[in-house]
Amino acid sequence: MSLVLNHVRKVFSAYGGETVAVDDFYQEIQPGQLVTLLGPSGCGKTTTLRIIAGFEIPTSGRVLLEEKDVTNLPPNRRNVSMVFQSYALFPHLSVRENVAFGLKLKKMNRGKMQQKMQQMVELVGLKGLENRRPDQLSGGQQQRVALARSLVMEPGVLLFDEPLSNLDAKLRESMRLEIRRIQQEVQITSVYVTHDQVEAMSISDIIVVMNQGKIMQIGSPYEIYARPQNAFVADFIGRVNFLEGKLTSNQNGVAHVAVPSLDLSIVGHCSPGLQEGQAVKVVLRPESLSEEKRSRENSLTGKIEKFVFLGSSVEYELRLPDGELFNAVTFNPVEQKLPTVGKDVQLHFSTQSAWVIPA
Amino acid sequence: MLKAEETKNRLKNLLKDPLLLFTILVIFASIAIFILFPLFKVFAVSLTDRAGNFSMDAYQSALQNRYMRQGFFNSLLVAGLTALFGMLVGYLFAYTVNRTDIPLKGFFRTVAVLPIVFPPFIGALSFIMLFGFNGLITAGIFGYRNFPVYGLWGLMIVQVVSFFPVAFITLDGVIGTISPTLEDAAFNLGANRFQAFRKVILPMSIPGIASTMLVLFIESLADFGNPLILAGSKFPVLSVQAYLQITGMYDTRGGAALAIWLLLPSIIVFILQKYWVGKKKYITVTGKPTTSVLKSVNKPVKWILFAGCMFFAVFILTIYATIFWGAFVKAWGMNNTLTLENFKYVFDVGLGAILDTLTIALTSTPISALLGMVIAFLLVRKVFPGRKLLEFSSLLSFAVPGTVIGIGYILAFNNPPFLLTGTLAILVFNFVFRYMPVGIQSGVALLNQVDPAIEEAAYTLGADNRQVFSRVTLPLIVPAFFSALVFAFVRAMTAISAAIFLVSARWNLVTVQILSQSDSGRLSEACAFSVILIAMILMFIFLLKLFLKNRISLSQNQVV
Repeated sequence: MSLVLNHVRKVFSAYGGETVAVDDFYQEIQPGQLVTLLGPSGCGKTTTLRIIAGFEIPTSGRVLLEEKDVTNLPPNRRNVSMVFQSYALFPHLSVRENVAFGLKLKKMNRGKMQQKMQQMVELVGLKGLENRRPDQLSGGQQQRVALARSLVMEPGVLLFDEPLSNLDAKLRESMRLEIRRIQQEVQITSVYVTHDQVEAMSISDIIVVMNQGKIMQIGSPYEIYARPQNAFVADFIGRVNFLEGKLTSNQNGVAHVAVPSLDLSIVGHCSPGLQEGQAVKVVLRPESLSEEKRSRENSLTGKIEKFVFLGSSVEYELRLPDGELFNAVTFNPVEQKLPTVGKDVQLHFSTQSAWVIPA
Repeated sequence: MLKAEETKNRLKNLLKDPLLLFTILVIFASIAIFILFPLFKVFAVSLTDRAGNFSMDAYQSALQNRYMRQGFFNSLLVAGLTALFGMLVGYLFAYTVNRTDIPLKGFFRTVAVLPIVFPPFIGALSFIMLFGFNGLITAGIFGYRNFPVYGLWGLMIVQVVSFFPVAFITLDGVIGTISPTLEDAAFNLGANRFQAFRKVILPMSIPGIASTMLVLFIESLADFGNPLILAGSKFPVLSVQAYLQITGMYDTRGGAALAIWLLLPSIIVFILQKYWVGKKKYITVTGKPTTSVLKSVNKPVKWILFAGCMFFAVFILTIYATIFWGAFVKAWGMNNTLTLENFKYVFDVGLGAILDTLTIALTSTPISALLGMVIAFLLVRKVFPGRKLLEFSSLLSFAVPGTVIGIGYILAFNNPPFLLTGTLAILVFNFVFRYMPVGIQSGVALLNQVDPAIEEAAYTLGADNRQVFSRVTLPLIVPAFFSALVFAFVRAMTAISAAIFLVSARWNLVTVQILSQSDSGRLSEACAFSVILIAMILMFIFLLKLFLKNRISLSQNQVV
């Protein structure tokens, strides 16, 4: 089912003041897509999700499900199902009864209900646990029940509210693969809320990065990481270095940037619309820098302040000539020698990995 | 502008759910009719003269009457003393069972909640039988006939026995949740045991102490049965005077004016309790289990505390045992031969009252408990205009003394369109709305601990409000429901202060019988009635417990 959030805005009034929780949210979600709302806590992602579910009423704007306006429909009449952070299983019901809860309300006949329930329990890998109570299940199993309970309703849209944040790190990883597998298997339109960028990267078709109620960027995980539109997105997703400078030329997205503080000229990429003479930032990911030159066109020098050996990688902190700190990372350190603190190094990076955004 | 659109959307949603809208409207209407309207009538009547014009005459004559003024101060005095001593006895029990390793803890806990299931004024009855003119102890053992049972001290002692369980249960909760590791920390920082108590335990229990004293104050002020038996003519108290003014002097206006004098301190204290003290709580419950050996007191202090608890426990048990004994003797204090005649008398004279009492209690109890749960659900989970007002007015009847409510009911429901005087309905409505607040409070407390996502999940699975309430909310707060059930039943069976205005030839209550029997000096018969009443209460609790397989405990059925 397609889902459209048409200029949704939500204002909470509390203690005499007003807080804009969601500001002019516009997004069309295609059938079968998994869209993640990603952002720091308080950015409005959960409020947006609850507006889709019908738990919050938008201050203005409409919610359209399959082109039908559902803004004023209560949650139970929306054909939208939700998986909660706290699992929210019915503690007084068994796994079987939890999964069958919605079907019973639909007055489905017993045989069909039994069959659908069984099918769903198998899909989420809970076969044999049908008669357990929620408190006899592990966190991961409980979340599978919650997923089955929602999926069995064959909702138009499935909503996930930080479903993995109560699980430990290992389980989180396997569960997010599992959720993605099931989502693709049943081709269900999904909206997924998380503050964990790795989680967002690994399961989404589209990521919507939000901050203070506003959409900062909408794009595929690749676009969000490699081609951020602003400093917030660049900084929020992954680790990043910024070099401040001025755009000297922009030829169809190939940018030349002067960085006066380091007396450097950097060649990178930018969106074609950026104006020459504009103040810009060069976005450099730590892993894009290397001591090896090869075909890397740009370079900079710095003094090693400290480093951290992490086994599979080494993280550096460099002091640049202008006094700023700069992060770099190299992989497979066992093959190379460990760096020496206090030593000056020259690091190289390619045109592709230097992404230029407006300052 | 934007807000207006949101409000419009919200209203549209409410209108799309007619059942929710209907429920809210019905609850508002019934609270207006059965709680606010009677109170309004008391005010209105107290402020008019015979011709129906505005007048302060009733207040003026009440003020001029020294006897009435004395009643007001006496009521406050007894209430203050009962609050103080009730709290102290409650604290003694709560501290001792939580902070020492004395034997018989279970016994003390049971004794400390026992008075809840007894009609409050039974204490007064028994007190007279033990210490009165023909008292077993004073006259029987010491041959002393003029022991001052009537008046301030007698009344205060009996009220402490009747109401201290409230203090015990609250303080048990407070002291029980103060982690012993806090005392460990104090010892570790060099405090001795007394310092640890004075600097840690005591300050942390201050909010509980304050809240307890205010509740006891309200209970004592509202008490009717004990003062009717024990206050005596030399020590007038307001609740009894208001009753006598109406039933003895047929002066409704004067009675209403006295009721207002009784109401005002109660309401003030209630508001203090709810909005000031109630907010101050120390939360010491953390996720980590704390294991520490009890070492709060040394050996001599431990046994002193044990002796104190034992003294009160024996006193309380003596009071209630006296009732049982009294029910089986010919004429208390004069002819102590054992007999079953009293029970024969009770069934001859009072079978109707017994059946009436059961009918009324069994009708009002489930309605009261269920309504309490519905209101708790609305208060915690729904946003609608007037929510605060609903919360305040539904809890209000807890603070309104029964005497005031009783007077309000006879004033409000004596004329069409609400002509209910003399019917079963007036008693049922009265009990439903008076004992509902406890259900609401325990429902609210429990529901606040339930993750709202569980109910939201039900909504997204297609359940409407009714289905969410009946299939999810109610099963989750079933302990609160059953404790409300027990509380409402016990209160309905032992009610007297409001009910005494509402009973009629057709519908009578056992409690009223007990009072009138003891009033005419038939103490043994009054005891027999009491024993039957207690037996019915215990039977109900027993059956409910059997049904629930001990899922709730007595100590839960209190104001949280």
